Amino acid sequence: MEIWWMIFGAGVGTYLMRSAGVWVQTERLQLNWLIHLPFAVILVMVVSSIAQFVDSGDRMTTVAAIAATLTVILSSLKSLPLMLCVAIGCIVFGGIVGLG
Amino acid sequence: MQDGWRGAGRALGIIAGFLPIAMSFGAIAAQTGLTNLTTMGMSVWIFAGASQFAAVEGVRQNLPWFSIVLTVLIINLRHVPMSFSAAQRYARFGHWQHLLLCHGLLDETFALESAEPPQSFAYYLGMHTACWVAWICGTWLGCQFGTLLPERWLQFALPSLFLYLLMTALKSRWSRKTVGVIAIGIAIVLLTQSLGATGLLLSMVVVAIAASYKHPGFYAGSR
Repeated sequence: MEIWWMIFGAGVGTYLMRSAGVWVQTERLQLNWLIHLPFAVILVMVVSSIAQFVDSGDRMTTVAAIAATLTVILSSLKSLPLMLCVAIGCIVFGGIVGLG
Repeated sequence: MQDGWRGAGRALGIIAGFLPIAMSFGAIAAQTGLTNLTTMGMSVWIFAGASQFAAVEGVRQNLPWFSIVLTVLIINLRHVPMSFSAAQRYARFGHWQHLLLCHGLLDETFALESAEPPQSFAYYLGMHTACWVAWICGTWLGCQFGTLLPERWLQFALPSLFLYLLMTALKSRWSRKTVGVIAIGIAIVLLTQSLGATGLLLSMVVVAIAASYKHPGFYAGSR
């Protein structure tokens, strides 16, 4: 029974945080930095997700992460579609890790 | 309806990254001894990857339920500033539509939406629903066949997605000040990495503040 209270409480709390923008009037808070938050989220998620692979302690994983990162950067500079860039990143990473 | 499918199609990159993570979650939850029903209940109702893993770990350690709830909420605290920012994008929708979209507000959907011009409600709903269904299906697959994961082939899907979005944002806004913001971002993420989800939240706020000081018109998402 307790597990259901946990799921219920965690779900309600998470939803209330996700809907904070509905309940709180941000105009009154004068949060100018909020318009830069999308970029901040993207940058932080890029660095943290790649850093996890680089810090994994496994040399092949580190090499694979660096190679896949460079490949995705080049692919996006070539203006390839999103799905293709994701697929290329996965193939390069999975291929190199598989060699180890 | 067509917009809904277009939104769902746009979410394919996220879904590719979601599936192995959701399957891992399902597998770990099953190994911890959670029933399929409670595991699925978490994915349907909480729908927040990292915090669900933490909740399962809390269950494994026999922590009291309110302590697990507190852990989940601390990990998900980053949704508050995201919600403030997304509210500006959803403001033109009705109250109930806005509330409906909130359940699908994740790091991934937030980032993808921010990188695009404003879209219709159906488009956002299609994207959020596709991600939610993928997360639930992935969890179920994990509960059933968790040990057979082809994990390494999909591990880099989400980093690739975020990297693509970052490059798209930078291509049109590259400047010396941008380099400064990126350097601050890399440094703060690496410095706060050991703090886990709290570190991520702190990094996001610091980078957003740094961007607003360094370059007021630097990146304003869909605006």
